[in-house]
Order: sequence, then structure tokens, then C-alpha cells
Amino acid sequence: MNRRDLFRTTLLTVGAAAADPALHAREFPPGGDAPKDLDRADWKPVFLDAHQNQTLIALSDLIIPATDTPGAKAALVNRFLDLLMSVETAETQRAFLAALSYVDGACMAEYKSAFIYLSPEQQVEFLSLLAYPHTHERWGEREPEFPGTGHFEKLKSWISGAYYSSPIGLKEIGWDGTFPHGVFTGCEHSGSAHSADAAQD
Amino acid sequence: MFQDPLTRTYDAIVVGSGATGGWAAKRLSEAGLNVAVLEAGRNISPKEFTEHMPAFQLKYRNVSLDWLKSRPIQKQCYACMEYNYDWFVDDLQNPYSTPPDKPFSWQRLRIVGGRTLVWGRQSYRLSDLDLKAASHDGYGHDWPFSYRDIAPYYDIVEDYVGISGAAEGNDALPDGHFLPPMKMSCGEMHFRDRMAKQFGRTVTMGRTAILTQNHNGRLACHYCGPCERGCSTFSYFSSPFTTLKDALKTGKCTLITNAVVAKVNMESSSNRASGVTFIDGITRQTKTVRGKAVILCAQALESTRILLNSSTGEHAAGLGNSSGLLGRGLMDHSTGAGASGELPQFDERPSPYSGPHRANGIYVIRFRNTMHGPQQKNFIRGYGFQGSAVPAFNFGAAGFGADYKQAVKEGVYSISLGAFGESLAREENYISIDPKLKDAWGIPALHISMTHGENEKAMHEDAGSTAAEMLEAAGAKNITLKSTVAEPGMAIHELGTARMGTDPKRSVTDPYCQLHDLNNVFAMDGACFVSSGCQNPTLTMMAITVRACDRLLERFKRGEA
Repeated sequence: MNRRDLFRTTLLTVGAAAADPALHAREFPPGGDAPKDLDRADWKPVFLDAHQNQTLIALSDLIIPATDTPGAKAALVNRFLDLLMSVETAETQRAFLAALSYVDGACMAEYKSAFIYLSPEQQVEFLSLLAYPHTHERWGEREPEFPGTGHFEKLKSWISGAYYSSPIGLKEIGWDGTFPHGVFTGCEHSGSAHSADAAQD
Repeated sequence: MFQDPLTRTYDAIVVGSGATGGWAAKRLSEAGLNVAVLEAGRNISPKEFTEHMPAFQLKYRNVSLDWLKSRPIQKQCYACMEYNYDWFVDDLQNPYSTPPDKPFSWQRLRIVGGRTLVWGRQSYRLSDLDLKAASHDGYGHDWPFSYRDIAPYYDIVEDYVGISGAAEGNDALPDGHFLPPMKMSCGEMHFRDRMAKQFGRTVTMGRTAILTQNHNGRLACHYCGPCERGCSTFSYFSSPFTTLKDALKTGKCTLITNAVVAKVNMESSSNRASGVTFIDGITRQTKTVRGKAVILCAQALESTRILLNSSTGEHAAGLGNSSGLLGRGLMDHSTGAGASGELPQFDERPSPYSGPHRANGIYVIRFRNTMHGPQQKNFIRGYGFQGSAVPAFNFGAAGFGADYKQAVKEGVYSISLGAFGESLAREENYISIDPKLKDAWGIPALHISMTHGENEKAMHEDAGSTAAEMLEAAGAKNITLKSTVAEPGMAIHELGTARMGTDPKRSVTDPYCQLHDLNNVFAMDGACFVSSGCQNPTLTMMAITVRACDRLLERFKRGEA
């Protein structure tokens, strides 16, 4: 579109823009700096209580720990999830809180202590119990699935989503700080490497 | 000197600025006609494109749109996200009704460019297997033209748009004028060769309106990935930066935004339209614009809604509805069946976040009920599969801790196929005006009544198990299959409701998209489709539009318009 075209279309839309902010194009990046907002020194949870927040920090850092790269705690996964949950549907909020409270309830039953007060070894032992399916199958009968697995998978999915969408998490999966680009070179094997299917035929 | 755009009489009024509106504007204004393009939404600026913006710069990181109360239907669209939701309609302002047991997901945009801003870009020609399907299996109606008639218009559209793809010589999916195809991964090459060898089925690279080399002043794709958030190099086809831009460049085309068209107006003294009435989206004032021809390119359901809302004494059941068929025969490709799995024999790592990302996949050309192949016993017509086989980050890896983190990075070589099936043009699937419901501009809203039928269900049973069988033959593991049929609307390929044909008693428009009943009103979009084929329809809509515009131009030249 050249300047004249722009002028022509603008003439017809200028009244619109002035009259109704809903008809403006959104501006990007949208107001504020989302990562900085989460990193504020005076940050306080808006959805979780202090205990839930501590539990989430502990869980997230066990699920995605610091290795040679930073983990979920450094990525402020708890802070993002607190913000997200504050606007989620009531159903999702309930599912999130139910999963957190399941963790503490099961720990109380097993260890007489809330999750965050367990020793690091106990925490890993407990999560291992949840993380791997506990379905006991015998001939002709199948016991109901262990409910802890469902709660764990939900928490893990939220934590993983929050981590891998954070600046730290994106670096973990190959964000080099620039915008994504390149050339999709596809299969570079010679001619019949795959068509021969030698290994399978 | 500036002239009020509403005091003139245009040669043509084009309603809608998307795929077909853009072409109508370009074709007619480049031939010297004075054209007004009316768009219900606001203008678009490349400044709104966010394809390179990491999710963490968004407040909710594009994780969920549940917080967004204004678009409960639009958020069902895979392309509607925190990045771009304001391009989609506000569902509260744009209501429609359905029977309680027949949900329909109507996903749409009101903004210059319409759905070309976010479309899936897959571009396939119909063949005579599709255009003459009724002759082949006895169901429904043939199109009033054959492949030979429309082929030159496919050429024109492809040459301009730039469709990358590979010629395959398969009768069910005619080859076109292609830019070089995107590349297949190792898994896809393997899958293609195995399918050819074992089943005789053609797997081709997705034919897509994304440039693989510089073309018509636009740059080749840089493989950043999320096209639906806009493209700063205009490498995928969207009308504001191609057809519409060309139209405006002629100086013959006036774009009027925020013009919500309510109805077509009639000349009192003759059986001709005089123009359209629209509501100014900002001021809510009612305005009219005059034109010698009215061309509806508003999207199938919206174009028909305008005609239904244009009733007069003489045309009491809606404009152009002497056949009683206006609104009947709504189609949307059936989706929801397919299979996915893993190809553990390939150990390639996922492409890093920083790219490259190929916004395209593979396509399995229809192989059921072909012209000379075996015929299925329990369903007619056919389906194509869209799919891919590429390594991806394995966010769903089992366990937790350092092992999980490592497993995510190592990724999983996943393969998937999803069916797009032909949706039969059944007259019991219809749209009408809801007598009680109005939109935010006071325009009567639609009632949409559609279900997929027994044929679509049987087809999807076959598509699910066949997809799984194909993956298994390729050596895939952990295969899961789905044979369900998704809610109508989910393919976002709404077609029909103003079928074209040669017989005014059995069709709404003539073979050139002109209403049989009125010689200066046209429906140039998906509304005029006779049958749906199983191919993504936008390329065909554009070809039909160019053909219809060329016919209209001949009439103008002869002074008949």
C-alpha cells in the first residue's frame, strides 16, 4: 500500500479509531513487560495462599529441576501459574487446587507431614509413587486407577507449559534470542535411503 | 478533490475483503471498473503481526484463552490465540442460533483480509471426480462446468498467489502451476515410499500458499512457523498485501471499512439491485452505497444471510430464492478421524525453537471411490489426509526430574494423519434467519442447522482405521486412532447455501455466480459450491471468482451490465 492508498483508506477509518478504542489494533508488545512483572521484588500471589505457593515451588522444582540449565523455580513457574489460575475458569481453578491439596493429603496419610516439610528423599519417593502408573491388573479384574497419577499429570502439564514458555524454558529448547527462522532442509539422505526400507523388508 | 465515497455510483460493490473479495476487487479495478470494497471490520496493519514474538511477552503466554469472555466460539479455532484474538469476531456482538442438539462452530474474522490472515493455506484443485461426482455415484448434482472450464482460472490464481507443491500426475488431484515444494522429512519420505509400494497411494508435500522462492514482489518463507499470527515478509498469501493492495493501487478501488452490510437494495422500477445498505460499525448509522453490480464475497453463510435479509414484496423469501433453495445444502468438510504414533526408527532431534519450522505437512491424495478404482460399499465420495512426520519436543514424556528434562529435549519422532472428508450437500442442512435474534448492529442473525450424516460417519470409521493401518505399515509404534466426526464448522470450510447450476428451479446462481433471479447480484465465495469435494476449498473459490469476474467484465464491455 503506498502513501496515497493509505491516505484514502485512513480517511474512511479515522473517525472509527477516534471514537471507539475497541476498534484500534492492539499494540505489541502489549502494555507492560510480562517477564519483568513476574520478577518484581514485591511480588505476592494473587490466587494461591502462601502454603500453596510454597508447595507449587517445591513441586515444580522437583519436576523440572536445575541441571546444567536453570529449573522451574528460577523460571518463576509458580508466579506465572498463580497469574494464569487467577483468570482461569472455575473448573480449571478447582482442578488445580484439588491436585495441590491431593499432594498434601496423601503426604499427611503416608508421612504425617505436608509435602514441603518432607525430606528431599521422601519428596522424590512420594512423587515417584505418583508419576508411574499404579494399576494392579489380575485376571478378570482391574482395580481403579490410582488417583494420584491423574493429579500429578495435571500439575506436571501446567508446570511444564509454564516452564517451556518462559525465557529460561525457551532457551532450554533452543531459543537463541533471535526470532525463529532458517531453511527447512528436510531429508538429506541420498536417493533411495528410505525407499529401500532395507532394514524392514 | 475528495469525494464522499457514498455519493457515487460504483460499477461494482464488493462485500467482503478476504480471499474472493480481494480477487474481485483486483480483477475488476485492474480492468478499469470503479469498485467499492465494503469490509465489516477495521483495517489491518503489519504492525499487528506477532509471528516472531515469544509467548512470554504475552501476559498469559498463549497457554489458554479461557480468560477471554468475548470469544467463546472463536477460541475453538486452532488459529485463534492470545496473539490475534481481536482479528476474530466478538461472539457476543455476532450471535447466531442452532437447534440445541445440533451445535455448529462458526469461526470467522471481521477485519480487512478476513480469514486469509489466519487460513491454513492448503491449496488443492478439484477434479472431475469432484465436479461430476453426481454422474459418478448418483448423489446430488454435478457442477455446471467441468475441470477443463475452470483449469485456466486455477492457473491464473496459482501463478499470482504462488502455490508451492509437487506434481504427482494423480487424476483425483490435478497438478497445477507450482513453485518448488517444501521439503519432506526423512520420516515423510519413508512414509511416502512405503504407501506407494504397499497400497499404491500417493503421498505428496502439502500444496500451500506459502512461497518457497521470491514471487511477485514477495519474499520466500523464512520458516519461522506460526503463519496465523501474520507474516512480516508476506510470504503466505493474504489479500490485504496482495490482491487488495493491487486493487487500491489502480486508484479505481475504494475500501470502506467498518461497513456492516445489512442487505441488498432493489431498484424500484426494475428487477435489479441498486446497491447495498450497511450499518456504520462505529456510529451505528445506516448508510447506503450505490452500484451497478453487487458482488457478495462475505463468506458462504454471511453472503446468504445478506440475501435472506434482503426480502422485498417480490422476493419475499429472500433475494434470489425463487427456487426455494437459498440457505439449503450447507456443507463443511468432516474432520476428527485419523491416527497418530511414533517412528522410533528415526532418531533425528527436534528443530530448535529458533527454527526452522515448516508450516506445512504431507497430504495423502484421495484413494477411496476414485474414478476407476474399487467402490466402497458403505459410503460414497472420499477423504484426504493431512499429516506430518517430524521430530518434536516430548513435553508429554513420562516421569519427572532431570530425566524428564532430558527426554523433552531428545524429543519424539511423531507421525500423524487427520482426515478431511467430503461433506454431502444435504438439503436438510440449512441456514435461515432467526426471527428473534439480532446482532449488535440490529441485523437479523442466522439460525444454523447442520449435522454430519451417516455417510460422513461411515467414511470416518474407514478413515480412522485406514490411517492406523497406514501408520502400522510404515513401522509406527504407539498408534492411537480416532474415528469420530467433529462438530460441523470445525473444518472452517463452510460451503453451499446458494448452489450454482444451469436450471433456475434447481439452483440459486448461474455457473458464473450470478443469481438466476437478478442479473446484477453475484455470490462469489463458498456459497455457490455444488458439492464440497474433500479438498481445502479456498483455491477453488478464488478460481471461481476470477472466472465470474471475467464474465462480468465481458458484459460491461458489451454495455450490458
